[in-house]
Amino acid sequence: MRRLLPYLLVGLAACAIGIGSHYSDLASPYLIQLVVDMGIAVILASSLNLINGFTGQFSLGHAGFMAVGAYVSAACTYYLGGFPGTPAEGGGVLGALAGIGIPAAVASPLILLVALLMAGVGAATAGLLVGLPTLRLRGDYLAIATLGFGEIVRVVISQVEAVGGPRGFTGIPRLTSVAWVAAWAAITLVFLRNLLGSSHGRAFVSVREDEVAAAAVGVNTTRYKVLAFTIGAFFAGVAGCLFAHYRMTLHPGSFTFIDSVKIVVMVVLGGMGSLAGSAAAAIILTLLLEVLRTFLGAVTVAYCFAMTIAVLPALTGTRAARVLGVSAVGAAGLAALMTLVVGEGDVGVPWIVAAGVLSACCALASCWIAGGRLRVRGAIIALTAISAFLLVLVGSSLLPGPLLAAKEWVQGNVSQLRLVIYAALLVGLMLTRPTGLLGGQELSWRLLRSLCRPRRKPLLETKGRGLAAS
Amino acid sequence: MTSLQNFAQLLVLGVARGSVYSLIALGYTMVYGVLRLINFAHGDVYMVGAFIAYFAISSWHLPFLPALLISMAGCGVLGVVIERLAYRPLRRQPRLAALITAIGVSLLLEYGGQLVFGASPRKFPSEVLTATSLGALRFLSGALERSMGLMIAPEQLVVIFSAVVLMVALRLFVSRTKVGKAMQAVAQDRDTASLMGIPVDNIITLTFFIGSALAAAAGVLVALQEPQIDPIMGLWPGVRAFVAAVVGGIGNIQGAMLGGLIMGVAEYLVVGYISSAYREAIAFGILILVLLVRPTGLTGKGLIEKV
Repeated sequence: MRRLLPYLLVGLAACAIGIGSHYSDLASPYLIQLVVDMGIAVILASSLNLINGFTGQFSLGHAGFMAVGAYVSAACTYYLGGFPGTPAEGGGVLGALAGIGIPAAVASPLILLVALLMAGVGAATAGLLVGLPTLRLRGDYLAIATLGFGEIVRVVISQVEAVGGPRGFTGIPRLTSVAWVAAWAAITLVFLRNLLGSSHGRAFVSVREDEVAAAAVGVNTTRYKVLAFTIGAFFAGVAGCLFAHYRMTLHPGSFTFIDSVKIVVMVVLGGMGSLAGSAAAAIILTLLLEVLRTFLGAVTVAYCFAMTIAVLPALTGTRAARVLGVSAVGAAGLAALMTLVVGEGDVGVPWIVAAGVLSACCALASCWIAGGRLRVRGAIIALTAISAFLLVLVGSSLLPGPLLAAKEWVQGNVSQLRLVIYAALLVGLMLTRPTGLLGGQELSWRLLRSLCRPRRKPLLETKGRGLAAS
Repeated sequence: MTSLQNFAQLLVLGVARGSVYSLIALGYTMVYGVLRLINFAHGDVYMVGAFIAYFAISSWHLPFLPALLISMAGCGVLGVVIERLAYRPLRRQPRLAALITAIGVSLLLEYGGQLVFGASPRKFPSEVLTATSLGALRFLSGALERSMGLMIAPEQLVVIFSAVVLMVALRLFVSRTKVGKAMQAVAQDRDTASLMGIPVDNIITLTFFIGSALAAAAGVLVALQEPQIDPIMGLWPGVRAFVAAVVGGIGNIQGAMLGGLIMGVAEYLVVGYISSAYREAIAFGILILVLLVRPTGLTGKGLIEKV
């Protein structure tokens, strides 16, 4: 029972996505694409967490491993698969399987499975090749060497004409579905969780904590570092294969060092050494960049952020304050989600306003209950947020000239503005929570329980003890 | 043109480019020296420097030298503000938090720059140079062409000349002045330096100011050579300069200068003799080779590990 929660959640999510994808004609292609992106991000972030978070080896080349997997598997299915529209059309593996009576509907998933494993093995080999020589390096030097590896992979790929070179690789058959991505995300999480719970997992963590001490008690540190790189690269390759067979085109420009950095950001924001944190951060950040695409989304996210800042201090207070604070963040998040689903300027607007006002009230109340200076700060932030939100939302016709112009300017520059907001959120989150969302904690019943219990105030505690002693 | 002349030509171009990398690498290496932080936003400070000079020249019609100085001062202040707001609160936190913040600041500057300046490239008014009295340099350039057959634009001579002046000035500042020595002390051991009465916070602020000013100078100098500036121009030169700092031995000022020159020369030799496609890969190839042989860079000292 104690260990059941993560499996339960992963299973539920996989079921939901599986059922959802079964009725996928109900969902828009945009939404499906979003879910696929999230799943791939989860695989990438959690596998990088094995290297960065658990083993403590700072790698900046994860996009390079992903590229290896993507290109290896795409080249195989393109040249050997025999799918319609590829050079081996009618022949290839698909043709051979059809020859022994296996229909394409059964053969395609089989081919994808083989491609996935090949992508994983190819990337793992690359991980091994990179790991063996570079693991003599430490810390920042290792980071830079892996960054260099990722860039070299990209440059080499863009020189190979067979996979499209710098123009990109097109015509890859679409074999990935939401269910495949969800299943592999679940496999990755469960595999890594079990690995980290084993004695091997303890060895990874011991390398992170103190390499010398780990070696002194007989842990083969080099072996575990290389192993972490190899396993992490394997799953990055799988993610690359899923990516390639969903997007159907690949471009060397999709695997730059900035893309590696984005994965690192997910790991660090989620919490180094927390698989649940990586998964959550991968989903949140992917969603965030999409939500920010609409103007309203941008406003809502900025607003949610203000709420979070207003509420976070209150979370250290009493139980009621914490519950209210969490519900404020939840309501604000709900508002953001509704913006995404309902879209701008539809019937949803009154609902979003209602959710916004509700969450602001909750934030205000939680700060009030938490007491002290928080009341003032909470009140100011909540009121500013409410008024700004209402002004922008409702009063677009009532807005005075300069504000209207500002609104139009924001609407005209959403594509750049969303990245600015993303970057600002990144800096803000790092400054407020330097250890990431979950720190090193995993999702467990205990964590959930502790969220609902008031944290004791250390100051009062010592006072009480002092009185008792006297 | 003989093959020797060709080689010499590439070498000179490489040195001109490399001296710019050295200037940027100095900022990386100085900040790394005092804070052990890879300041990813440094390449974007370089971009801001080019833009400040652009506006100083095209909007305020200033001559080259004042524009350069204004841009250096402006970026110095920007660097100090970044340190104050984004890095100082995280100084006692895990180093990775500061690193991610640095990446965030870098993205903020790039995308903010696209928002403010627009994403399309602008032409840097490099004709401002011909307006100033650089007759001596033009004469030198002409003499070089006549005697050795080297085609070197006066702009490139300006770049090499300014970079050398700045680097010599920095070298003298760090080794001869009291403040420079304090900077070295902070780089060696921050806590002990603080016990010796060195105002560590002020020294770190100053380090950011000087490093960012040098990056701004590099930005203006590059804009002179390749008169196209845009908000993400800092990305690759920044990465390459950082690689140069690591190759030279990060935390070491001579190392940064050496590494920058190696990067610039290697880049032009590869473009000249192999293919411009490998322009980006060569930097990393050299990096990995150097790190494998000397894990702390060319001038780096061996790390002594204490248990």
